[in-house]
Amino acid sequence: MLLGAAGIAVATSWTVSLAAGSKAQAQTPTATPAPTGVTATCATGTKVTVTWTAETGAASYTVYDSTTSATGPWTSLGAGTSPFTTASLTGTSGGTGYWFAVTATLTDAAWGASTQSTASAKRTITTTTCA
Amino acid sequence: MLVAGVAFGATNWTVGLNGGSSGHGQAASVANLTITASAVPSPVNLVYPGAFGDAVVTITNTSTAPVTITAVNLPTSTTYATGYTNSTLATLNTNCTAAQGTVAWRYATGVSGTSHTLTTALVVGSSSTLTVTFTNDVTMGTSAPTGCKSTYFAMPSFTAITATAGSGTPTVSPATDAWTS
Repeated sequence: MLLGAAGIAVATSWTVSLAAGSKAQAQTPTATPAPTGVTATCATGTKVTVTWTAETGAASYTVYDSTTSATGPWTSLGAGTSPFTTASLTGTSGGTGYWFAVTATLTDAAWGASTQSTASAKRTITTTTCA
Repeated sequence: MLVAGVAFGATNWTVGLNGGSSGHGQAASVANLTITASAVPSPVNLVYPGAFGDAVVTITNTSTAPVTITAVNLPTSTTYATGYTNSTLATLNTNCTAAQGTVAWRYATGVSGTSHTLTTALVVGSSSTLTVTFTNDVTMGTSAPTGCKSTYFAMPSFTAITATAGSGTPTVSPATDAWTS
């Protein structure tokens, strides 16, 4: 508050209130969100470790692989947490390509499992190695 | 503007003048803000059971002075949002009532009217609107039914805000902000 001539008080700000009935908008998705950040790293031998970003609200995850493409079809490797190390994968002498994806199931199981995440980069498995 | 030889900054308004003062003053028109739900932009973070999501609002300032908002006051944590099937919030989602959806403001408590400071003060220009996304300030309980998927929620009203009118550089719209406690 400034003072003008002869001590006149000069207002520089006013308190502002809110009119009744304010509203904001939020939105839910069409399905359980799929996990993100899925990566596959070669471990020892032909084992692969799959990791992903933890999803808020998730109670469990299922890991899948595909030897066809980054969009499936998918075969379940089982449920687990991140990091998830697969059992020894079957490769060929020329190498078999594997992609990995993860689904999430919320604590609120009524919402069902998510679709598969975006797949990891391909890992090529021979009879003895992973690359 | 001068009053008896005292210079005032151009952003100051004099509220009334006593008799005998020279110069002139400009009376400011200050009105309450209105806050309405906005479907644009779409929230980046959608809320789902056990997680947090965004809420989008448009703030309207009809005053002739910029208004700075520094905090919001929230209803209780059990004041739940009503669900709708469309972004215009026109058709109720009968498969997701407020009691079923359990969508509420984050950091709200059992006491109505708690004040929550914004990370960044928002300045709404004179006779202007500002669209704001409050990031991750919406929560959803962990037992909402599947009928609450693909639902638009009208969040419960703020009970009050902390704001002053006077001066400030308007925040660029659309903006993002949040309260984090």
